[in-house]
Amino acid sequence: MSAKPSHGPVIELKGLTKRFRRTLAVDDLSLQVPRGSTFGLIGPNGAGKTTTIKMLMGMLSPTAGRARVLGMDVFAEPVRVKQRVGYVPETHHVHRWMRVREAIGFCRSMYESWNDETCRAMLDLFALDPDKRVKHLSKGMLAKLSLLLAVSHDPDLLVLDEPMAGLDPLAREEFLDGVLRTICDRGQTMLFSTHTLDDVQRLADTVGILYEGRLLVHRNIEELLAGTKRIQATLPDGCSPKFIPPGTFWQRVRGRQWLVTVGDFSPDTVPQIREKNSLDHVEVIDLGLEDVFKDLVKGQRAAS
Amino acid sequence: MSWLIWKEYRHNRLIMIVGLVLLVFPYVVAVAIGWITALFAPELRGELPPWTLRMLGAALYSMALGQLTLGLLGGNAIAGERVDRSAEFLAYLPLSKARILSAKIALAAATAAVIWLLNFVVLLALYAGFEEGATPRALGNAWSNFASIATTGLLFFSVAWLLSSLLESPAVSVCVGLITPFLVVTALVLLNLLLAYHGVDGRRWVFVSYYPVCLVLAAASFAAGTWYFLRRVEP
Amino acid sequence: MKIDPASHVPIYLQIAEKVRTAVAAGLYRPGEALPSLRAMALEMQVNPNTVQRAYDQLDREGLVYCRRGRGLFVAEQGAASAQTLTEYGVREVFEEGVRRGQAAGMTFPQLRAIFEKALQSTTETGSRQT
Repeated sequence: MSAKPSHGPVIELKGLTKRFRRTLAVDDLSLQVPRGSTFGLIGPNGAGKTTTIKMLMGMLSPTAGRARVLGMDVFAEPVRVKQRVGYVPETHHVHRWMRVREAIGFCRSMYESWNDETCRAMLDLFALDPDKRVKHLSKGMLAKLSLLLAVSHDPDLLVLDEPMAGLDPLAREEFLDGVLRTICDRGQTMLFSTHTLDDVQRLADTVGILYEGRLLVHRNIEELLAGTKRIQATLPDGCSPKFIPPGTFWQRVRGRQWLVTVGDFSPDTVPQIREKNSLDHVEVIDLGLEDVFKDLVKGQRAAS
Repeated sequence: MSWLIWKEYRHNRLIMIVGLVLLVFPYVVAVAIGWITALFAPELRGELPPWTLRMLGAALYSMALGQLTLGLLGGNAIAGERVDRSAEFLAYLPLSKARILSAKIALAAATAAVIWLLNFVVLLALYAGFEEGATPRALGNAWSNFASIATTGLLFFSVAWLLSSLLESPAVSVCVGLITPFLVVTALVLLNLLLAYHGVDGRRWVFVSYYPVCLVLAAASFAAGTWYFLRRVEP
Repeated sequence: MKIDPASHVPIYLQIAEKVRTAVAAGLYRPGEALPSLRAMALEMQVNPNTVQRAYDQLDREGLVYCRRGRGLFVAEQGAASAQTLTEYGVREVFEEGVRRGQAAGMTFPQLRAIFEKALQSTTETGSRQT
């Protein structure tokens, strides 16, 4: 049994870059995920989420940069890393002719730390039929099998790539239940990418917003929501805003109405804006994660 | 490891079954012809070649068809798991590429061993059945036929293996592997013509060089395919 | 009990609110244990860290106390929670109103005047007075 570091970030990406011919899928991405936390990676389609995850799993070689997981370089020691990581991809490609029990037996023979009890518990929880072939499993059941295989070897890190995409609401809930059970029981570190902002709010401590391969935001979720506010103000006739606070995600002027989403909201922000732009009516609106995300993306699109 | 080999076998099961049929079929035909003639047309008995020659022919046919099996196996080895993307499943398990590959090689080697050994033993038995000096010429040629079939098969397999490693299509890999021996022969024929044009009679050594050329090409292709697979990061 | 992830109220506060409501409704009596982190996390379908934050909040408010190794228990003042809860809820709404008014540039006298008007209109429409 190899010694694992007891401190230090579980995931450490430094300057990770991936170029596919002309497209820059991931652009100089750096982030750290500390032990015991849950990191939610969100971004529009094509932002580079799956590419990033594939690189940190050692399944795609980066153009530049480094990926360390559990203190080990993913490309130098792929097998050792994978012993300690449970991975749930978006589409599960278990050999379709395998039966559920064969898939379990196959994986079991690969991992040193396979836990039969965990496996049996998950099998019961998900009510998977051991004799059913993978090709006959519904999407929801396949996702659950994938989670079972990822979790049954007691990994230190769970990596999920859009794990609940395309699942019906009940399957979603059951899958989520499975994920939560394992976190409650084992306290793993987790990184997951998703479109569903609901999942991020439920599960993540920290959120990272990826856009066109760049990590635009990397903050604790509570801080992000507390610090991002939309300000609605009425501009004096014929004026456009003179002062736009630093850390602005997005802004829009329509007639006399000025909407600006600020990323570093503090008690000084409103007085500052009001003063420098000579505004009368100023209103502060709280935002949910979905609004934050949309405003950020809109702002990026407008800027490019 | 046993699970890995089981997986390889199961993944290629169709090829293995086809291979088994192709291995046995010529023998079945050789025996059946005798029975059918005896049952339905005993007057044609004398026109049939003796059963030893029939068995000889069956052995060579079986050997030749067996190379087809090997070629299919080679072409499907790596690309077959890319086509249904199950290679990605293996990619996130703690499996080194070397382990994955050794299971594939083990299966191919075992299959080749069965095909070659079975037919080799049959030929040996036939050979032993004749008194000294009474060996028919056909049997004498059988060994060189056996050798050239085996060599062709090796080339077929290795080239299919190389392409399987590079590409995602088992079908293309098998096809390219299949035509490679023909290309080699064509090249040698052309070489011979070229030499004849210049007044050199290289017939003997040009055609004997088929063996080393095939073996070298086979070894190089197999090595290249293996090396590429081990080095490649993407599943 | 379900939380709304899309709401602007942080999830841990939503959970704290739900627990307060449950205690006020008598679902958990003083001296009784609250559901374990695990149970609450699974019921609410949220990260157990978030539940921990909610429980810490309640501990700070004095609604619950922590017995080492045994979990969280409802404090004696849980009995008076009903009142506290309502007061707390009302105060939150008032404070929100004050914040909005301040952001729009109103002064305290203005705000007080608006508050008086609101009280009056409620009395006029015949709502019950306590």
